[in-house]
Amino acid sequence: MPFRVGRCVRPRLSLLASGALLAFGVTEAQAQAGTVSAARVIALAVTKTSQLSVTVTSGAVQSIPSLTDNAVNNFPTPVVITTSWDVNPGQTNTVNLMAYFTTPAQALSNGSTQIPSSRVLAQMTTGLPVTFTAITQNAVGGIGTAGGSLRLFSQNISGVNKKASRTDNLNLQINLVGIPTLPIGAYAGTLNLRAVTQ
Amino acid sequence: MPARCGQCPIIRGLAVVAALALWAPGLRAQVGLASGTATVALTATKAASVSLSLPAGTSATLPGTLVIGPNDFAPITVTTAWEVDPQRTAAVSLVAYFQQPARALASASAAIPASAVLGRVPSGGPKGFAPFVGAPISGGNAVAGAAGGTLVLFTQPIAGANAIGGRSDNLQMRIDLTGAPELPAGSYTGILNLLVITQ
Repeated sequence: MPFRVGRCVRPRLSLLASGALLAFGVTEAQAQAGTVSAARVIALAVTKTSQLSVTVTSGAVQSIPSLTDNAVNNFPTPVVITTSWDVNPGQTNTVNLMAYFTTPAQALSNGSTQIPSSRVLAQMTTGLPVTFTAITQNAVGGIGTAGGSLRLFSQNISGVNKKASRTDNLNLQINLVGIPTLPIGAYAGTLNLRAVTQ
Repeated sequence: MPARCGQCPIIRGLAVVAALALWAPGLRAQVGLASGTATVALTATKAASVSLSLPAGTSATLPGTLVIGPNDFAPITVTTAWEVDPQRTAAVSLVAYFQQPARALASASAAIPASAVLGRVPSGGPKGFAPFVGAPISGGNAVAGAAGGTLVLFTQPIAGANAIGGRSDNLQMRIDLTGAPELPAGSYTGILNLLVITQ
């Protein structure tokens, strides 16, 4: 069924349309005026992918050459971490950096004896754990493990810093105070670092 | 009769476009976005340790006088401690030696050889007096002792139960000048070295 403009718009617009038709004053044109096709739409959907990355600039390998029982053992150098993001501030409140062990009960192991994550402490003076804190928190936003995680920072996002980065130093230590003497051996583990938006 | 805008195809079309724009998934998926994983490799090594102490700390003096025949010094307590990996350590040994066996003790003009100096550890290896004439002993890449001037005071077998342990032993020294040429009068001094070595 043909679409008639005059039935849809206000009377003033109908008059304008009539005036336009009269101005042309052509018989053949009058037969076609007021005929409009059905509407068709083209949906445009473009996505700018958000970017979020974590890079260990230095200190990706940390070593304590000589563990001492019943003492706090510091890793000698910090882990330098750069976190970069490019996100939509309307849909992102914070960027969070998480550190976690996959198996908290076995943060470090020599094969037969384990050092749990509760004995591994981290400090980020520019972040949330400004003093050494055990890596015993829960996951955030699905990133991390229950009882084996630590949120290192939570960066608020606004239009000003929707695309930015930051570099932080992460200090680590193993606290053996008050636990049974460890057997001689080499203990190894992996600390995971991931950023997540909220 | 006024038109109802909700029935207008143009308006309906605009509504469809708006709905599709809202549906576009990529613009709504930023909450919960996660980065890739960076890792930090952690290693911490607890090394084996052995230690040795004397009543006065790291050294002791044994004064005495010499006569023809055996000359005994007062016993001295030697305390040894260790913390080792029983999978890699079969024994802990206490070794005593003179660096220059031919001159275990010496004065300005004469010397007493290590063969004339004896030691005993009733709770250890040489339960009776034995001369310092043995060879060095080795463990791994380490060597303790001097050729012809060494005496092993004890060898302690290691198992899981005593991977961390210690012991105290009394070491008694003797200079036996029996049958030796008469020494010139004078002051004779020497250094007996003690080392703990794992094997």
